[in-house]
Amino acid sequence: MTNRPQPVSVQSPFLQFTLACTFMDARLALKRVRAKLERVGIGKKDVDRVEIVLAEVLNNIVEHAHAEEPAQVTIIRSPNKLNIVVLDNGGPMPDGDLPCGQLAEYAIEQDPLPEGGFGWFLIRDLANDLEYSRREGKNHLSFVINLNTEAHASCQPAAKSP
Amino acid sequence: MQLTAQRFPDATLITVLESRIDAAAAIAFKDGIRDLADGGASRIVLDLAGVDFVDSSGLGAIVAVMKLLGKERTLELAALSPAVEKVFRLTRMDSVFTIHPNASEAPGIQNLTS
Repeated sequence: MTNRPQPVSVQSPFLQFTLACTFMDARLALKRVRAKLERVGIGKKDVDRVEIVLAEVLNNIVEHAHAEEPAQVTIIRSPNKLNIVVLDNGGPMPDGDLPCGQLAEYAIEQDPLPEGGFGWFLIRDLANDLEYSRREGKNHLSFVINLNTEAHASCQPAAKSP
Repeated sequence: MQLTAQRFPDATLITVLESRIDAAAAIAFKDGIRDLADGGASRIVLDLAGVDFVDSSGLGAIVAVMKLLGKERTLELAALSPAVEKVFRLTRMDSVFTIHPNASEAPGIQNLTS
């Protein structure tokens, strides 16, 4: 028992906080994340991608999960990426999995135009390594935003499935 | 939701005086634009120069506004910030709307002082 190895994933978070599940609290959380990322010099385009994805994730929780307890956002920073984990105690995802988010592929062909369904498309398009699990009554959603700031401009972004 | 309208003979310019059109603001945005668009010119130009961020709910509200204007009136957009432009481009809604670099470059918008 004494020599139990430390899990390799233990790393002190760059940012961790909880928020009540309302649209206004989600907005304040996004402003807070944005301010923190800008303060440490992460490029504006990368911050935009974090904000777009996290906005859709948090809004989905507010809109659909009906969580009674605050949601928790954890951001772990590595040199070239941010790992973001969002926990909420709301209802599970329908069918226990994430929506496919392909609507926008053909959305503009539709008449009338759709007014929704863009959220999961944006998440899937901008986030990497998207994972969802249901554990101990909580939704665990994690994703990675690769940092492609000017300092790494010569690097190719990570390959993504179409 | 703070919005202002300037009426020109050929277009109504509606300026959004909020930094975000997001899930918290989408309904107020939709209602506000609908009220301001009533009775004006058939072309509505929406100046988004002050808007830093639009999420999918905000995008949905902009599409909803376009639809409720009907076939006789059009909604054009102006001055998209990089983050807003990105959301429109990724969802391909940039091909649905006429988008002007600045409101002052939209036809029918005259003598903008702002």
